[in-house]
Amino acid sequence: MSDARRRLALVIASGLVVLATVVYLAVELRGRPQEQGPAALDPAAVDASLFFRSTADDDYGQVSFVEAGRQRTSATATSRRCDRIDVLPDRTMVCLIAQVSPLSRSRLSVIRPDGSVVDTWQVPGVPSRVRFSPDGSLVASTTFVQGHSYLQAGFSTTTQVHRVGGGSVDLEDYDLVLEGEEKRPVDRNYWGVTFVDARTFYATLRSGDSTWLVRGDTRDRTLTSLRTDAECPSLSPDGTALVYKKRDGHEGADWTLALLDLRSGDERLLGEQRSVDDQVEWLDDSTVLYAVPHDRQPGRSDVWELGTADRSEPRLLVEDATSPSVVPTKGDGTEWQPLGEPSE
Amino acid sequence: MYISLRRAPRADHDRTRGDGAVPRTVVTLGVVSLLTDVSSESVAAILPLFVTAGLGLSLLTYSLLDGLYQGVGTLSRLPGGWLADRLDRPKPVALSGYVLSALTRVGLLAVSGLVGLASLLALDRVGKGLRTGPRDSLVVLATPAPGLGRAFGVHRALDTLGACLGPLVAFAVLAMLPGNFQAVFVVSLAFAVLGVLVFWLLVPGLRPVSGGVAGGMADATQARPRLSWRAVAPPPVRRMLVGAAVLSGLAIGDGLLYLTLLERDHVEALWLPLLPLASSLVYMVLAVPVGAFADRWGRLRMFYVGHLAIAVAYLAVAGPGWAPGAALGTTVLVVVALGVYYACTDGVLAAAAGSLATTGAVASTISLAQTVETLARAGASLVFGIAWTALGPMPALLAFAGCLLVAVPVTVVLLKGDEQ
Repeated sequence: MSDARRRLALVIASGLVVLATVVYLAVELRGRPQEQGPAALDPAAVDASLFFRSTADDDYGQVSFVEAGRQRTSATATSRRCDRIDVLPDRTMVCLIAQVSPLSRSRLSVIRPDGSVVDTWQVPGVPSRVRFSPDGSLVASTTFVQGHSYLQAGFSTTTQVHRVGGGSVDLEDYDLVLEGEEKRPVDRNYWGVTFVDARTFYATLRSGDSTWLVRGDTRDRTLTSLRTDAECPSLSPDGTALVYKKRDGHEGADWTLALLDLRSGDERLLGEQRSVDDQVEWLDDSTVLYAVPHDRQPGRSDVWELGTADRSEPRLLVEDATSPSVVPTKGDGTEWQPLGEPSE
Repeated sequence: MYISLRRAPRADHDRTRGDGAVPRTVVTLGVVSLLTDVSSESVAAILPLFVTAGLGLSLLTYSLLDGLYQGVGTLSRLPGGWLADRLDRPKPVALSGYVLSALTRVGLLAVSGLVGLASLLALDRVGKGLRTGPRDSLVVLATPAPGLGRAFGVHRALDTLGACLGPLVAFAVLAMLPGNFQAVFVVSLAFAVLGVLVFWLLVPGLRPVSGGVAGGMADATQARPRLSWRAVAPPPVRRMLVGAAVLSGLAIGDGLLYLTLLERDHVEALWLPLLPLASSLVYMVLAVPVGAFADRWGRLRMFYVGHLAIAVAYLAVAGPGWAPGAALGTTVLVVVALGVYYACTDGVLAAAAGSLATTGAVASTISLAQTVETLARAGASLVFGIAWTALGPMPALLAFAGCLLVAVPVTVVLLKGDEQ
């Protein structure tokens, strides 16, 4: 080819590439689902009992809810977008969402049922977990951050406890008692807080290749290790048990859910055979909820329920949902109508 | 984007003086790198969001996989350079690297798991490793020797501009189409394809040994140049490699340096992601003037002395933190020092290697120099991590700064270059 013909070929070919991309983007823009639902989250008005983040096409990434005894419909989506949520019994919600910017930050907001924002914080990194303390005075957030540890290439976690109407403290600034000794390992890494009350909480510590269940004290700013191989603990409503994920569990699963009886100190694996990478949410004192991603569809997941009793089997609860958060209904008792039998 | 096309036509190999215009081929290669970097950095910028929000998976698991594949890119540099010299055809080898990286973007459109994602990014690194040496040898072939430093400066400035634009492009797409990572991958693919097209259609197939521009057909019977160790690393190159190994062996990774700032509370974690971007901007602005200065002052000397910038950064972090405005001042100083360090070393090393290399071994020599530099820096980070654990971050920084302050003058005196 001569120089002139090469240039002509370049102009034509690159013109086609640019045109195709612009057409593609235009089609995607037009096909973008219109946000629907009430302008502000008004959960107080409905007798909802389960909030979650939708992964369905119609309302992807939007906070949705299911009313007790009802099946999910698209009408139950709100216009609020969150990556992780937790909702208090009075329907106050904490929303953790990644901000779309090169600064790689997330925004954490506490939102009242009427839609007013009580408090908001910027946290570094992308969302992983969020939990309220039972009285709503504290919020714990976990985010993935890059370049915060020289011992681990890539990503580590940052966990902060935020006081609503006040400041934030990083768990790495707490004093740590590890296996009975005061320590400050430089590669310490925390995630997955669950509160007992506004003073006490459980969380996960990793240092080296091991993880520990730790108990924290927000007043003394101390953390104490309790046992190894326990990640993302979640305390039962009656405060007698923790469910967390373990590395050492069922064959072929990266993580297996296990229950720790806090009175006896006994630990046993739960009946879910698949790997679960989530901080579970308790539906009642004997049932937990968690998200399981779809095998072949990135970004899609379902919420499953699992009894903590022996020989319980997982059951599909809500399709296309993640980050479930349970609130008590106004009536008594929560009747759940599953969407169907587990399908493979 | 196609400024180079609209310029007054001029021959690619005309012998301009060092202070003349930069050859059009170099600008074209810079534009190719710009497009390719927009493509790769747009993906890199949204990766954390894609893994967590898009795939719904854990970034900790991703980091583990990614760590396993880290070395792949570095190790593919040597075969890339060797192949380009052995075939006496840098262009097709570099083109295969660009095409491979573009193909990984197609894969991204279908990826649903972490193993697949990490493998695709590893392949992208292989593509980058394969093309870098041959591409840099094309810069050398297209440029009269006295202007090499400046030519590489122009190339690296355009390359860095692309790296800065990539995240902006990605986040602009996500702002338009929230949560639509596919759209970012499509746009990334488009930039990669544009890079391939510009490279394929506008860069001449220069052949270092056969000379001139390659014809359509390869002459299979033609004697291939032998690539001995002596040809790739003649004594002056060996001295340069020793100097690069020693000094880069004291230059810890950028991430570690930023981490020491975080450790001293000089910078808030919220602002940490901004620092690499700021360093890149400094590098982009300084690449051309520093490269041009290196042409006159001596490229090797520039490369060696440039390591003083990183010693300044160490001392700034480890120095007194009590002065008013120390936190912000130190952060700015570190960011600027890193930009200066890159301006003095990255393109300048390629220029020095290119001018010292023997004909027919240019791509191999440049690849070798860059591999030595990368491995030495990885070693520096490893040793620094150990020193951090043993001594604490600030004594470790002071020790590294002390070693650099001794090593730089010693290297300059003992390992003077023989370049023209």
